[in-house]
Parts: sequence; structure tokens; C-alpha cells
Amino acid sequence: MYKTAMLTKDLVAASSKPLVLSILAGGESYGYEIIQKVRELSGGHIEWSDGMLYPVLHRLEREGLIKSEWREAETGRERKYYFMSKEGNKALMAERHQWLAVHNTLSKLWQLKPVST
Amino acid sequence: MAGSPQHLIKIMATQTRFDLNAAIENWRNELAAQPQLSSDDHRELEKHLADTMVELHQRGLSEEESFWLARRRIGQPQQLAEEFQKAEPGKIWRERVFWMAIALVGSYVFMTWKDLLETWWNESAWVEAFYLIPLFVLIGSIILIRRNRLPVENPRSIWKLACGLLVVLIATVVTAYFRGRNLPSGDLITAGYNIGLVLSWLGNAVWPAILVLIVLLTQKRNRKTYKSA
Repeated sequence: MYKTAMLTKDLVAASSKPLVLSILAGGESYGYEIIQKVRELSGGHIEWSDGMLYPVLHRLEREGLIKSEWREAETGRERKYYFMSKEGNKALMAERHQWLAVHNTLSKLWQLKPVST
Repeated sequence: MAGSPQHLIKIMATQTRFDLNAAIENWRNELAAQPQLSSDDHRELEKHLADTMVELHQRGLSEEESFWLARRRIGQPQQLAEEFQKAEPGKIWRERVFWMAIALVGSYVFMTWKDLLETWWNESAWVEAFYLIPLFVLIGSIILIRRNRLPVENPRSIWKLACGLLVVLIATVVTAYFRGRNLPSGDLITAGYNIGLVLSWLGNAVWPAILVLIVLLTQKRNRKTYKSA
């Protein structure tokens, strides 16, 4: 993994919202699992400082886009689960629209087909 | 002898012995030193640390290595605290108000029991059941705590609660004592007194209701409706 392939701080901050919402759209999850998923899906290009995910989650919760609940997992471990609200689904649609607009514009400028990286 | 190999081995053995519990306790204290972090935040970060450590340990790292790496991944407590506060500026105050309300309910329950016992001593009346409302509030709170909906895992919060309760209780006992001394004992059965009694029943219902409201409000997040695009 090259250093240049890592996302800049600004981009990490901007993309955290659609990433978290998209993951939660696929079902409820908790902080640790969300980070694992992002790490895995991005192939290591998106590396969050673990603790920084929680302020993001709390902000989204305050905005009413997600909800949370302390619950015991099947393994007996207790975790704070986050799940989508109706508002969250709407927000995800809006985010999706915006990110695809950026993606498509850049793709045209760079004359790329949808990229794999 | 100071330079002998046995001595060195002994030093190494004692110096490398890693106390996981102490290390975690240290880390907890570092978190607790950040006033911006609520007890719920502590709990969430602790669970994260535990999850990370378990995973790293399963991958073959030692207890000590797992701890240090997990700790590093989570980040500096001070930076974290700043980010947490930016995300939810009012949270810490919601928590403080919540504990104040709980302390008030506690004192209220105490006063109620005291009044109830006094009344039943003289004559019993079903309307006195009004006085039990705060008791239900307290029971409700306890149920919430038991279901882990309220963050009281942190021993510091419990200490705060206990101190708050104690102060309010002492104040209550002192005022009740002086009020009881100054109360006139004659002509109680008058119209004026009855109206006052009704008002006081109402007051007894409104007062705990306000407290319940505060407790509920502190639990509810500041909702902001999302405007799409």
C-alpha cells in the first residue's frame, strides 16, 4: 500500500457520512464492526483512527439520521448498536446523488470508465 | 551480585511482567481526565478497546502487544475528547442535568415517605396515593438503569449521584425539621385548609411530572430534521 493512495484528512471527513450510512443501510452494526468493514472494503486506502468514528456516529445520531441502542450480542458481549432511521435513508439518497455527480464529472474529465480502485 | 546473569534475568522477568488490568485502569483514568467525555462515551470506547484486543490476541499478539496496539488505534484521549465534544456539544450538560433530576426525585421520594408515614399515623386517605408518584419515577429510573439504557457503569457517576443525593437529603431533613416546628397545630379543618390541600396534591403531581420530563428530555437527542440536498 502506497502512502499516496491514502485519503487526505478532508476527504476522510467528508466521506465518513456516506460510508457509515451505506454500511448501516445494509443492517445494524457497531463501531468496531463498521471500522473493520471500511478497512476491508477500501483495501486499506481508507484508514480511520478508530476512536474518531464515534464522534461521527454521535453527530449522525444527533442529526436524527441514525439511532442507537445498547444491547448484548449473541456472544454475551455488550455493544452499542447503531441503525438507520427514516431520515437516514433520505440522507443517504442525497449523499449518493452528490457523490455520483462528483464521480461522473471526474470520470468524464479523466476519460475513465468506472474505476476499480 | 549486581552484574550476574541470574540477576539480569530476574530484572527482565520483573520488568516485562505486564499487568493488563492495571494498564486498562490507567487508560480508563486517562479517559476520565477528559471532562468532555460522558460515561456513555467511556463505555463505548472501552468496548472498542476490548474488541480490538481480542482480535489482535487471536491473531497471535501477546496481551501486552494487543493492548498497546489497540490503545494506539483508538487514539489520543485528548484529541478524542475534542472530537467528541464537537460532535455533541450539549451532551455533557444533558448528563449533568439528568443526574440532578435523579437526585431531586430521590429527595422527593424521601419526603413523600416521611409525609405518608405521618399522615397514616393520624388517618389514612386514598388520595395520599398521589404522593407515591415520585416513587414510580424512581422505580422507572432503576428499571432503565438495569436495562442498560442509562449509563451508570462508570463508578464515578455513581459517586456523583450518591453525593448529590446526600446533600439534597440533608437539606430536606433540615428544612422539614424547621417547618414542622413552626406549623400551627390548631384549626386545621377549615375551607382554606382544604383548598390548600387540593393545591398541594396538584403540586405533588406536577412537581414529579416536571422531573420526569427533565429525565426524558436529557435522554432524547437533539433532533434536527434533515433537509435533503
